[in-house]
Parts: sequence; C-alpha cells; structure tokens
Amino acid sequence: MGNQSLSHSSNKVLKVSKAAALLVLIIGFIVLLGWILDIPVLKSILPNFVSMKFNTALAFVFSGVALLLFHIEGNKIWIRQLTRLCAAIVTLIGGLSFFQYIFGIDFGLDQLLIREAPGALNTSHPGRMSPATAFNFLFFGMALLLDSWRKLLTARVLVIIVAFVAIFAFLGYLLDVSTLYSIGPYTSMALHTSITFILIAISYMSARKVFNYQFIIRSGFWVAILAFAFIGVTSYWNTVRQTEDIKSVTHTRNVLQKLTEFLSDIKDVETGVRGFVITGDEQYLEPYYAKYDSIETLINELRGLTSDNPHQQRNIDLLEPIVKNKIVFIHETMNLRKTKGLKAIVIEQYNSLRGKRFMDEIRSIVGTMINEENKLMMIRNKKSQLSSLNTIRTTIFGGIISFISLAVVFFLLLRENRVRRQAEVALRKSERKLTIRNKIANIFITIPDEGMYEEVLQVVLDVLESKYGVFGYLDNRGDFVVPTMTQSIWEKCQVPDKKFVFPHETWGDSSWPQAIREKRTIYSNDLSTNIPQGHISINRHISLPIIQKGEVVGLFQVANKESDYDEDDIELLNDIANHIAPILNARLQRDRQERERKQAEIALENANKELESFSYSVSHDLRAPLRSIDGFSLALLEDCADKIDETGKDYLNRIRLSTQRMAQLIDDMLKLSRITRMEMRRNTVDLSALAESLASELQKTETDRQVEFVISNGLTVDGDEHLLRIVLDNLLGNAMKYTSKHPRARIEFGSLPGDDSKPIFYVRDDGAGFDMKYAGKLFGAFQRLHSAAEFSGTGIGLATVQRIIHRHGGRVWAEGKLNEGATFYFTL
Amino acid sequence: MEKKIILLVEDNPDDELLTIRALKQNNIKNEVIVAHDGAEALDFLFGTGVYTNRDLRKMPEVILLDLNLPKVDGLEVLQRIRADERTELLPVVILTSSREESDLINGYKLGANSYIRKPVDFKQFTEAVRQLGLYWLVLNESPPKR
Repeated sequence: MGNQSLSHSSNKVLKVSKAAALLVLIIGFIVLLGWILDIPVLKSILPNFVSMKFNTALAFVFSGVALLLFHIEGNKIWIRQLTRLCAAIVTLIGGLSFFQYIFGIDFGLDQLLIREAPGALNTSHPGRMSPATAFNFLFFGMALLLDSWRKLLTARVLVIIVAFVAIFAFLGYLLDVSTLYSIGPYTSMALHTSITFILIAISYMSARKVFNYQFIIRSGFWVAILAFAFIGVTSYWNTVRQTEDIKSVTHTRNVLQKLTEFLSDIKDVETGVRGFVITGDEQYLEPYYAKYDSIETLINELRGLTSDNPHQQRNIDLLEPIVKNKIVFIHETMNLRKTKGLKAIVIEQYNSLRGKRFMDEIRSIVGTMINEENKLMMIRNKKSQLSSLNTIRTTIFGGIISFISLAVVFFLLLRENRVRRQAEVALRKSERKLTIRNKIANIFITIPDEGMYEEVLQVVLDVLESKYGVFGYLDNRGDFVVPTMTQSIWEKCQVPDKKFVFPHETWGDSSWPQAIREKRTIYSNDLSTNIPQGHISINRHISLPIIQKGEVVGLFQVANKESDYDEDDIELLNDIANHIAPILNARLQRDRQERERKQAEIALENANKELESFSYSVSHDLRAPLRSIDGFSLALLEDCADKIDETGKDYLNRIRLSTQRMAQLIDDMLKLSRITRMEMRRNTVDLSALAESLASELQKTETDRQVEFVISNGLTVDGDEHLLRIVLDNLLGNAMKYTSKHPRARIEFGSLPGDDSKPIFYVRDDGAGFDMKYAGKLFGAFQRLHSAAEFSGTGIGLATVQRIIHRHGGRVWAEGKLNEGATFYFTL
Repeated sequence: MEKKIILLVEDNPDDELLTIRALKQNNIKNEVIVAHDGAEALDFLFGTGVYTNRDLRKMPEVILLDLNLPKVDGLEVLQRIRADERTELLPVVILTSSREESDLINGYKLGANSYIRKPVDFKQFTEAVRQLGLYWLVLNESPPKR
C-alpha cells in the first residue's frame, strides 16, 4: 500500500512541477508579447498594476524552459547542455542587473532590447528590474547551474532563499506591509513578479521531489524561528525609530519654543523701548538690557537647532540681519529719545514706519519658521504613525507566520508520530506473522507423520487465543479428514486421537462445510446453534478454508476465544492459511505418493514372489515330461533294441539329446532369472582370490591339458561376492572351454587402469577367439557364435555375466580374433 | 532273510516306471512298494487306510520320497515320519526334480538323510539309482528294527 501511494503522489508532484513551469513560461511569454506588440495590458498581466520589465519577462521565459527540461526523460547530454544554457542566461540577466545596483554602474542592460517610457510607475531606473528581482534571478540561475552539476543541496538552499524573498514581497502586498517588498527608493518587486517567482520555486521543489513531510517539518521550524527573529528585529528597529521620532518631535517642540521665546523677547524689547520712548523712563529699558544678549544667543541656538534644515537656516540668515537692523534701530530710537525727546522720534521714526516694518518682517520670518517646524512635526508624526502601523503589521505578520508554521509543524509531527506508530504496529504484526509462519513450516518439516496436524493446530490456537480448533484436509475423494478431532471435542469420535473422516455426502450445512463449499471465510461471534450432539458448545468461531490455486485443500476452524474475533484475527488466520496452503498441498501429495509407492513396492514384491513360484513350478513341471521322454527313449533303445533298426536308434538318440538340451536350457533360464531377482549384498571382494580358487578347480577338471593361469594379485572390488563368483566362473570357464582344442593354453586375469579411477578387469585366452563382426551377439541370451558340436553350452553364460555386471552398474565388452583368442573386459 | 522293502513315494507314473526299471536294471531285486501320494505313504507307514492290518513290523529299508505330492506334501510326510517313533529312524532319501534351495534346507532340517535331484538324462538317472541302491541297501547299516 505504501509503495502505491508513493508512486501516485510522486506522479501528482511531477504534474504540479510541470504545470508550474509551464505557467512561468506563459507569463513571461505574455509579457514579452506585450512589450513587443506594445500592449500595456499584457505587460502588467493585471490591469492597473506596474508593468513587468522586459528583462524580467525574458528571464522568466528562460527559467520556465529550464524547469520544463527537467521533465524530459532520459539522460541525454543535449538536455543538460540546454538547461545549463538557459540557467546561464538567467544568471546573467539577474547578476548584471543586480551588480548595476550594487556598483552603481549602468551596463545599458535595461533598455537593451526594449525601450521603456521614462516616468513609469515606481521605477528608479527605467527598464530596470527591482534589486530583489535581480537578486532572485541571480540566485535562481546559479541554483539551476548547481543542479545541473548535481550539487542538489546547495541548489535547493538557493531556491529556498529565492522563494522567501518572493513570498515576503507577496505577503507584503497582501498585508500592505511595505517593508517587505520595497527597499528604499529602489524599484520594488512587482506583485506578479513575486507570484511568478513563487511558481518557479514550487516547480523546482516539486521536480526535485523536495516536498515531503520531513522537509515541511524542518522548514516549518526554521520559518517559525525566522519569523520570531524577524519580529524581534523589526520590534527593536522600531523601538529605536520610535525613540528617534520622539527625540525629533521633542527637538521640533524645542525649536518652536525657542522661536516663540524669541518673538516674545523681541516684543518685550519693543514694548520696553516703546515705554521708554513714551515716558522717557529708563526703567522701561530693563527688558532691553536683559534680553539684548539673550536674543543673540537665541538666534545662535536656533541656528544650531535647525542646522539640519536648510530652509530654516536660510530663514535664520534672513532673520539675523533684520534683527540686527532692528536692534540698531532701537538703539537709534533710544538715543534719539535720550537726546532729542519724544517728538523727534514720532516725527522721525513713526512716520517712516521703519520700526514697524522691521517688526513685521521679523514676525513674518519667525512665522514662516514656526510654520515650517509645524509642518515638519506633522510630517514626522505621520511618518512615526506609519512606521508604528508598519511595525504592528509586521509583528502581527511575523506572529501569524510563526503561529501557522508552528501549528503546521505540530500537526505534521503528530501525523508523523501516528504514521510511525502505525508502521511499528504493522512491523510488529508482520514480524509476528513471520515467526508464526516459521514455526509452522518447521513443524511441517520436522514431523513426518500425522502428529504434525495436531502441532500446527496448537500453534494456531495459541496465536488466536482460542480454546478449541480443527485442522483438517480434503482427501482425493473429497471427504474432509480431521486428524485433530479428538474425543475432547466430540464424543462421537469413538477412538481418542484417531482421525475422523467426514464423507462428502454427510457434510450438512454448518459453517465449515459452507466455508469449504463457498471457498470463503465464515465467522461469527455468537453461540453456534447447529452443533451435533455430544460436541462441546461453540461460542464464537472462525471457519477458514485453506485454498491452493483456487481449490480447497484444507480448513482451519478456531473457536471459543475469550473475546470477540476481529478483523485482525481473521487476517492473521488468513495469512497462516495462505502460507500453509502450498505446504499442506505438497505434504498431502507427498503422503499420497508415499502410499502409492508403498503400494507399488508391495505389488512389485508380490509380482516377484509370483514369478518365483511360477519359475519354480515351470521348471519343475517342465522337467518331469522331459524325464519321461528321455527315460522311455532309452528304455526303448534298451528293451526293444532288436526291434529297432539303426535309423530308429539314431532317431531315438537325437530325441534324447534334444531332451537333455531342453533340460539344460530350462535350468539356465531359471538361473538367469534368479540372478536378476537376487538381492545384492555388497562387500569388498577379492577377485584375485576368487579367480585363483576357480582356476585351480578348473585345472583339476581338465588334467589332460596344460593350462597356464596368470592371475594378477590384489584385485579387490566392491560388489556381491556370490554374483561376482558366477561372473568369473563363467568367464574363466569359457576361456577353458574355448581353448580346449589347444593342447597348451594361457588364460590371464588382470586389470588395466581405466578413466575416472575405475579399473578395467579382463580375462584373456588364446583359444578359438571370435570374429569381431559378430561381437554384438556375444552377450545376447542363448546367442552363440559356435555350434553346439564345436563347443558345448547354451549361450547363457555371457548373458548372465552381462546381467550381473550391469547390476553392479558396470560395463562389459569383448575383443577377439579368430583362432587367436579373445579378451573380455568389464568394469564395476 | 526277509526281503528289504523299498518305499517309493512318487506321483508321476512315468517317473515311477522309470525308477523301477532303473532299479531292476541294477539288479536291485527288493520289493518296491509304490505310494502315489503322501496320504498313501502315511497309510502304508502307519497301517491306516488301504493298508490297515498291515504288519507294521515290516518297515521299508529306505524311503525314496518325492516332494511334489498331491494330498499330503512330501515335506509333511517327512515331518510325520520323523515325528512318529515307529518310523523316526527310517532312512529317507528325497528324490526330487526340485532345485529350490528352500526345499533342500527344509528337507535336511526336517531330517532327511539325503537329497538327490532327478536328472533328465535317463542314463544319469539310472546311475543315480544304482548308486542309491548300492549305498542304502548294501553299504548302509540300517537302523535296528523296533
């Protein structure tokens, strides 16, 4: 099951990869078309969005091609070269664009192939992709190159970085968190660009089959950690900025305060001077003397405070001379009053309104300054608010991301745990099954008799925690035989521990016959109702047929478990049954064959015995008439000699001869058949000794000849002594016979080395020999190469020899030359 | 001197004729009683059946016993002969055409004195009979009469 889903899911994964790559390619293509045909809608995919740059689209097209090439079968070199080419182009586009940003150079890349109208949205440099996009293409291109050189791990890391950059930009757009997608004044990564990068990452990761649960769990943790770090960093960053913002707000307030102070000081001075002018009382000049220095100081302070603001500096530059003029004017006024009196001032100064003009100018400049500062404060406030909002959003974003990734990790870990535990359970189950199988197989092998059924049943009962059970087989008549049915189960079983046979006709309808007939498992967790009398009560049982090649060979029945039988039990029993089926079948066949063999053995023995008695009676019964024929022929010859002429006598003699010959033939035939049937008893036989004793016997029988026997010593062999004696008897006897016409004869018995270390024995004589033309007939039963007149014999000797040699598993052959002798060879 | 009896137990009439002829040819002039089957042989020996009222003091000098007999088998006859004290010492020569080793062994086991195979060649047979006669009737010391 695991393997199936693996290939299924890996097929799906590859499909996803292919689809994503195709999408990337299409997006790039559409944008390119948009640029080439100058259709703005196509350039930005989604209307009213910033257009995707031409180079970006080009790089996407090449990326898509490279990713699709992953899915072409085969390891052809051209695929790899093409992928590397696309990767190189992507790297080049991205890298060069990125370096343009870093080193501030313009390679003229951006407008190389197409011209973008200046003033396009959010574009720092016309036609140039955002730095993030450039960075991504650079890294992705490198990743593809590394991948083609099988540095898969590094490639994967690069693609993950690319993915993160794109995801961040995407989420930034989604959550309106601008920090995520724009870096300073530079072009930000467009929404569709980020989406396309995400597709690229998905396509690559699926193609390289990175997306498995392990990967997700591990990256989940990393994402959570990074998210926390991100939150931490941004919070810190923000706190810093807030502090600064507060500082600058305070600063502005300071400035404002100083300005107001300045204005009031000037007014005080003026009022004082006016009072003096009116009254001539020097007391009114107090503020003037008091504030005279401080005004100067204030101006310097203001200059210092606003040193970062060129506008304010300019204002102060305007202010200072006027203030100075004003002060000069005040001095003049004072002096004038002191010297000339009030009327002079009124006429001189108030008529010219110079004083007022100065004041007005001062007021206006200070007013401008105050406005400026207020404006500044408003801007700073807004910025501060915005950044707080950003921070909040980033924090929330970070928090959500880490929460989600932790949640995902948590659930995946739970799942992994569950999967692992399931695997453990499955493993233990299969281990258990294996142990049971081994046990049972062992029983089958080690116990040769019917006791095996009981043992196997015991194992099954233990495994299934059942108290009673049945294990039986179907014999060739289709009857159900249960070697395990004992009296403990069913009283009707008259003999304890004897097997019980259920003839096919008597089966009935209880669950086990049903299981056998319908070839399926029948189980029940209830009390059985249709049990025969005297049978123990059955509460809960499973009847499971053992099926081999579609035919039922046996049946398991288990019953009376303490708790209910469940799916697992049935599965286990089924597994055992399936495992046992061929073994049981083989065993039954073997038993059957054993029986047949025994029967055949008995039949053979009987046949032999019959043959034995047949031969006996044949020889005996055939001999009696022969005896009569011979006897009465002789009687005729003797008693009626005078009544029979020579011819008659001759005929009678011939009759007698034939009769005797027939008797000989019968004897030989009997002997031959007995030799074939005789039991062979193997011993170490000293052939030399045998030959010696036979030779000396033969020599005694023919004293009128000089026969020399040359017998090699120490020739021993493994065989039946009696039979080998017959062999040598025949061969040496033949040798004697066929040298009988020679007054001197030499008979040898020895051995020659033969191949595969088996010696070749031979008996050689220098007698009548034979024509090699007829060598084939030598060993035939009753075959002779000489007439009975030349040499006596029935032709059974060599046939006997051959039969004996063959029974020893050896070969026998002969060589001869007419009148020069013959040699008979044999191996054993 | 009483004539020595030879009991010939032989079922084959040809063999019977030939044996008797052979005996005659060798001048064995003893009375030859022929029993044609085992039962008849036992009848003769124990004075039952046809031979009731026979004088049981006249036991044969030698019994020539064929093995393949109807009614009562030769070996069984031998067994009965050896079982009865009236006949247990009588010399029994098994004269048969059987070459079976088992017959040979059983014959001796049951107490036959000798085992001779009937040759087909009549000449040899005659010779065998002559030697038989010579041995058992002339040379051999017969057991004392009971």
